[in-house]
Amino acid sequence: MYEAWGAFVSETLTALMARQIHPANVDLFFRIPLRPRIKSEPSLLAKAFHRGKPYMDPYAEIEDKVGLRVVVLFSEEIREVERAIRSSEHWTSAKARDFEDERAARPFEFDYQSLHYIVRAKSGVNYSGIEIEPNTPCEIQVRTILQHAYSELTHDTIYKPSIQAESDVKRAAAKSMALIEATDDYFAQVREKLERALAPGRLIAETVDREYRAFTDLEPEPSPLNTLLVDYFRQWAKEGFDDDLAEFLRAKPFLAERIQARATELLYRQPAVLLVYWGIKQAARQVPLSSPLTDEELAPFYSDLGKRLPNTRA
Amino acid sequence: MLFENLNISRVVVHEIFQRNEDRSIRSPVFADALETLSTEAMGAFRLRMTDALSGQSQSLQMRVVRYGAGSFLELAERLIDTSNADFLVGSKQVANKLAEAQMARRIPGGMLIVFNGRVGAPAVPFVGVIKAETQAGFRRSKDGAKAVVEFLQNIFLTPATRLYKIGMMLFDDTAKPKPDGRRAFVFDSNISVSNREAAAAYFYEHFLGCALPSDGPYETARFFDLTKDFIRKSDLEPEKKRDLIDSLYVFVRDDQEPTFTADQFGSRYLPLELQDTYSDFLEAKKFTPNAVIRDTTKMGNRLRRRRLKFGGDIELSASPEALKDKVQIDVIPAEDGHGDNWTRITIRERLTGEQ
Repeated sequence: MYEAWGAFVSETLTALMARQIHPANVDLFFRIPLRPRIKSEPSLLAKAFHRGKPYMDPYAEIEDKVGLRVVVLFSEEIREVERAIRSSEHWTSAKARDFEDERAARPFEFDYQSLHYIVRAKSGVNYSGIEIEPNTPCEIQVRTILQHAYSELTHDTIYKPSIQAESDVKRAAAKSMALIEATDDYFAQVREKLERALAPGRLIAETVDREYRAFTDLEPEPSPLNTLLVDYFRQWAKEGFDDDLAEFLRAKPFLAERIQARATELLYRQPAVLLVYWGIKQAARQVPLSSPLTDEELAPFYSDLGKRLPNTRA
Repeated sequence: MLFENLNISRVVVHEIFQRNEDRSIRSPVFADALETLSTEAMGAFRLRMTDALSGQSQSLQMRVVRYGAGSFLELAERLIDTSNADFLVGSKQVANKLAEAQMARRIPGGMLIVFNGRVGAPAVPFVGVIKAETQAGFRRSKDGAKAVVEFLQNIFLTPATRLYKIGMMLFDDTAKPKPDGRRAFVFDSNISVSNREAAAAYFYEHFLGCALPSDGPYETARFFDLTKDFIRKSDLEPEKKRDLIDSLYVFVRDDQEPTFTADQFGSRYLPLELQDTYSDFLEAKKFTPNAVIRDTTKMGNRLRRRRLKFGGDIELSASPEALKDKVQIDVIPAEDGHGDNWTRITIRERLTGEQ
């Protein structure tokens, strides 16, 4: 049952996250694939006896019998995962650890950092035929890849009470955690700068994605080709592009049929084909100069608009 | 006319032949059904059409001069809303008409494609004809495990535009008395080559019943004025502007081809970054993207004298030839230290008088 519950939490969380970050790819968002882990019995017993806590019934009270670890790249993304965890209607969630609270409480310490949630099944959850008993817990640990590296280093070593780490080992670990926190700040800066540089292209990609769906009734299948097209053709998308494109498509509704008729080709499933038409409308002669598309690929776009590809062999 | 939104609904292909040795007509070989083209083939077919009819090519809007019974216009108009069976029958009459029009033996045979559909936004019905001469070529294909090269003798509608001619009759409003409400466009590479116009006449005149447009003098002058205006208002250097206007004179006056398009001038002479702006400018001024008959008879003085202005009230007037051969104009830095440049004019003639 724990296995089923773990798998259920993992799949539900993935789906929630995918919806939240669309159109980004959730498999890239999770830096390590989600895999529910069941605590084996010996480690469970060890935990019950060694923590010095009085467990009456270790099986019900120990909350991480089944656990899930979510590893992301940036610390901001941890909060996005938190939002997804709290939004599910299949479980109740309670925060068990929050590294930001811990940092605020002990500003001079550099120690293990992670966000822990305990989610408990509500009644009526069923996973591939297995009824999940209400209140079954699952621990979700959310951390950055840097925090994860720290925890891999120190796990099973200095925090398990069976080993009393030397103080200079602890000191070295604390130094590395401090460095990790600083690195995380730099990562955030890099991310912000990259986003700023990519923002115009992304806005255009979003516009064509939206218009493509509405215009052609087709489900776009953006591939790396789409990015290539956006990068090249966005030089003709000036201010007010959203409105310009919408008006252009309204004046030329027949282009939808052309795209639909050729949708068997990957090129025409790229939302950026709209941008190709737009570019030709704006600058018919300049488009072919260093276009990522070949003359053979461009010619039908010109033809659809009643034009001829410039400088072709006659 | 922009041939966008070209939708072709019915296509039929007949074959016509060179006349017999005694100049009698050899009967066409008629198709017995309409063609069904795959999406890919239809795309290629449209591509040939738009290549030939677009602004960069020499397609002409023509005057329809024959529109009575048995004329191409009348035959074509009857094809618009017919059943497929009647379309096939009617298209055979069109083939016969072309066979009759090919009076000289030197005119080659070829495929006659008759098709109809709608074009433009908003779309209007049209009937089109293509006469395509056949070519020979090779094809490499797999015969079992072996690759073989085949020789093909009857390919047509390859991208070689000089091997086909297109006539398009557009029906904007058939309620009007003929030929109003109809427009004819003809693409034939022969029309635009000097001294070959006679070779084209059988197609556009005897077959399609059209005549060259009579607005050549007006359109040529308009092209000249608009283009000059465009160059003058561009933000090019004054010297570059003068060069371009030199080229414009040569293009309009000295080029020997009987027709021209604005796009020809743009792509030959304008810097690339101005070419699109130029075509937008002409579109806004409603200057035709199709070909124009080159005719400078009504341009009077405009081609004979050029007037250059310097500052507010100094003018230099010269014939284009004299300006080119005997006048040298250089920009020199102003010697009074103020911002504007000065001009040094060298005239390789002595002063002979004053008007």
